[in-house]
Amino acid sequence: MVCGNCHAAVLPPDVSSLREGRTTACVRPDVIAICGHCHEDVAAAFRTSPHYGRTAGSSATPTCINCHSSAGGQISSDLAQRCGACHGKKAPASRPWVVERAPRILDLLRQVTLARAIVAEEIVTAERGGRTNSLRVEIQALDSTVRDIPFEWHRFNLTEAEGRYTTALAALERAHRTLETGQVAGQSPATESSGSVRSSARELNRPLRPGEKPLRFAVASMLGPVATYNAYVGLLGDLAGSLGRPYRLIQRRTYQEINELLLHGELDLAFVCSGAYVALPPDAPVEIVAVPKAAGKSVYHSLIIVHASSPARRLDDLKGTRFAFTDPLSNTGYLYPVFRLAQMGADPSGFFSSTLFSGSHDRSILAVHRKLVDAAAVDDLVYNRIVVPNSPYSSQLRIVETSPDLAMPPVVAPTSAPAEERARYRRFFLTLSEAPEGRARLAALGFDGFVAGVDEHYAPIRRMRETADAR
Amino acid sequence: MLAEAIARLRRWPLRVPLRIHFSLLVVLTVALLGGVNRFYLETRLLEKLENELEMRALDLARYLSADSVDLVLQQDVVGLHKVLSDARRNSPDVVYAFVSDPTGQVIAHTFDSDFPESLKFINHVTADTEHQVSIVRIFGERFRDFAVPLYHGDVGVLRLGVRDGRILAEVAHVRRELILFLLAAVVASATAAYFLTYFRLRPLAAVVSTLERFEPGKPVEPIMVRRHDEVADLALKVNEMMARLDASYRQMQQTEKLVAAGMLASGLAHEINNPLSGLQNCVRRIVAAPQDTRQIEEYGAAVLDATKHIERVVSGLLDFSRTAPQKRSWADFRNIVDKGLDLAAFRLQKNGIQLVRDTPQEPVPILAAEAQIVQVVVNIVLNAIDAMPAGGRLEITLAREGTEAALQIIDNGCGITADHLPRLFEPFFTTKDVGKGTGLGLAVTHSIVTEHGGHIEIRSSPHHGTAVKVTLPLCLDGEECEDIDAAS
Repeated sequence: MVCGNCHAAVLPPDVSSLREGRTTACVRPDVIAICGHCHEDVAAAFRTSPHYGRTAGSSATPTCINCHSSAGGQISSDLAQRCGACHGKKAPASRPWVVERAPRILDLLRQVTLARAIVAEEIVTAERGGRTNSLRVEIQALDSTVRDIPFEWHRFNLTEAEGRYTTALAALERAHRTLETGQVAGQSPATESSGSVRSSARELNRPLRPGEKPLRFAVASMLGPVATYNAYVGLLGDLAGSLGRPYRLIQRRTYQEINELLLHGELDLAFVCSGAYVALPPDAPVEIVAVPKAAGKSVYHSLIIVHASSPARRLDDLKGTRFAFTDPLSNTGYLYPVFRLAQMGADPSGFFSSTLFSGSHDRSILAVHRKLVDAAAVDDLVYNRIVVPNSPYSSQLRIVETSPDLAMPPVVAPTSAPAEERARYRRFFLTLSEAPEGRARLAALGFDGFVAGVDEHYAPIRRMRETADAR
Repeated sequence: MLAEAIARLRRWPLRVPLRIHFSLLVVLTVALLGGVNRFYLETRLLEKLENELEMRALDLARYLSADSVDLVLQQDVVGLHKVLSDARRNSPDVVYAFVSDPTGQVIAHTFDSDFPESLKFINHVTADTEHQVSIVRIFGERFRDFAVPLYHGDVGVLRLGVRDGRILAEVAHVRRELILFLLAAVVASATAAYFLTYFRLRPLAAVVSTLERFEPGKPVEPIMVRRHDEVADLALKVNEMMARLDASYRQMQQTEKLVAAGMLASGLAHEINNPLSGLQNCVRRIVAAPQDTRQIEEYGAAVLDATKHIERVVSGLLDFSRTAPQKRSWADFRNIVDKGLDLAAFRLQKNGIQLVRDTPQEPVPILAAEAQIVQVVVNIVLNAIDAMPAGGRLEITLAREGTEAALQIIDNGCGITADHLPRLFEPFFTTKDVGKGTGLGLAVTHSIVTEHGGHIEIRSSPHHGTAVKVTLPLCLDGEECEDIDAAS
């Protein structure tokens, strides 16, 4: 849009007259055509309205800017006054009731809009609470009314509009009353609870005694901070307890930061993503302490997920969509999809319309669920924990691609630590599944146990990284 | 019943008991105070509360917008979503929140369902305003949509939907409670005022009923006083006043008798004087001819008669004016009537009044303090004489009527007007000029007759005369009369 779209080339000396809202000489007379360039349906509706029909061609024809502010497009707050300019008692096109009625119907329109939004939410909440009824269908029948509001309104058939909106509002109110009784509190999908782990773990997370060094255990943000804390604090407490040391659970926003801490000797142990592990320099003084296994195997997968309503069936279908990665060092959340695109001869910025790094797998899942993005790549360990049957996610997400087996994220320790200390860590992890408490901790993480890891298992991931980097 | 109520209504101003007055006063006061309170709540408090709500929501909107700017600029829609949905989850008044970019595209929202696109149109903010509020009333609640431009609108717009319902419902609840409380207070205070005044003023009712029963000359029990307040003071004063009134009435009663005696005295003087001159003549004749025994015999008898006559007159007057209370005894009503007429005889004669008397042959026995009944007869006759200043006719009829003796004294004097009739027996009521009457005559007469177990009845028509009828119980059987005496 440029000035000339609306205004004639020569402006009158008093520019303030532009604000009066009437078609003045300086505004090009074909306002409706100009606005209709984008708002085609509205302009079409307006042309069928008495506003246009009765006065077509004459200078009295009202245009868009009689009601809408020319700059913002919103309806002027002094609508009654503006209607009154023509519909006043003295004016030629007198229908004085319009002055009082138009703002009222406009308010009714607001009511219907808000009511529709609230009731739609209430239906979702009710359905989540296991209460399903026919309301959704009933309310969806009203959607044409609500959706057609701009169109309907611009026909300026006030009587019909009022009738439709009143009926719709009454139906919505009925639905609201029905849903109100026995309303279930909306459960947030992101809340995770873990009652007992915290209290027992808290004791060792105490202030340091003089000369004492805490066990610094880092967990890369594969889950959100709270979920990570809940999942790992019990295990870490047990480990620190067996060593008789206080502990510190360290989290950072990015995988890279954890890697940096590891390389600088700021950590004693770290649970890092496989992608972050392979991103460490080859000569890094870091060794694998243990690798978790799930379902008897130390492998996991990258999943490309979309919202259930998405038409995409394969990765190729996601061209031009908004995509969520987890972290630039994530294996499943970044490396794998980028590798796949590289295989297809594409790169993320060219393939997707927009990309973002959500920071953790659960947030990527949420982003797809909320349609903040169209697709995301996530870790199947996290996905399978969150997207369980009857969860709000279950029916709303779909997997379009599953990666081949990938080596699980390892627990690593810097080799600068004494060897016997590292042996003690390893012993703790490897024997975890032998005791019932240990098995409970593992179950909380979704693991069967830990095995001694081997660096060679990560070779395929390194190769993926090389391929991706080559692009 | 209804007619009675209407009649009472017509008698304006209505007779409204004091306790009702006080109750109404209290109800008015409480209602006024409550009304002022409610008015205050309605206007000032509600206004403040709404302002507070608005401020709170606006603070939240500002806070969210400040948080959102960075996240939008960093294109962290997931973080933005978390900020918005945390606000929604943790503030129950938040209905929705969403952020749209400068092109109007919604980038994050809190809806579980799809974002309702039309919601964008219910509020609008221009870049140069700090915020814009749009109020929508649905479902009986008030919803407000705040639109806050993010970084002057360059970054986008934050929209926050909040409901007032819960707080306003609370206010409505408090308002209902307040009204109930006010009603309860009105009822309670009115009841309390009613009963308190009732019990506090109950002695007043006793004062009133005592005064109603009070008749000078009759013993009245003093009002019992158990408290010390104005009502008690009043009761004490009333007791005192009744005692004084009673004393002065007794005095006046005596005075009245003396006045009557005085009126009779001039006539009686003649009664004494007339025989006296005859007596003197007789004595003179006897002195002049002491040897004439026949004459002495003749005149001696005459002298004896004259002195007997004088004695009778004097003793009658003495009897009449005697102050000491008299015992009741058998009496013949005829004799009593005679004695009364004897006392008034001269005044009747002097006023040229023709006396017609009709008394039965046989005795009319009554049990009476004779002097008192004589007083009754004299009072009535004297009134009749006063009513006939230019002479007339006085009919006196004594007759038995069943178990009663009825004395009718009928004059053809000026009569009594109808408005005076009901007041005749009131003490100190008189139509005579000052100094001429005490106003006690008929009151005393009435009390005497009533004390004797009889009654007195006056009928009169102005200019035609007055008939006074005194009935007293006959005393035919001595024993029975003793009982009556004891009873009275």
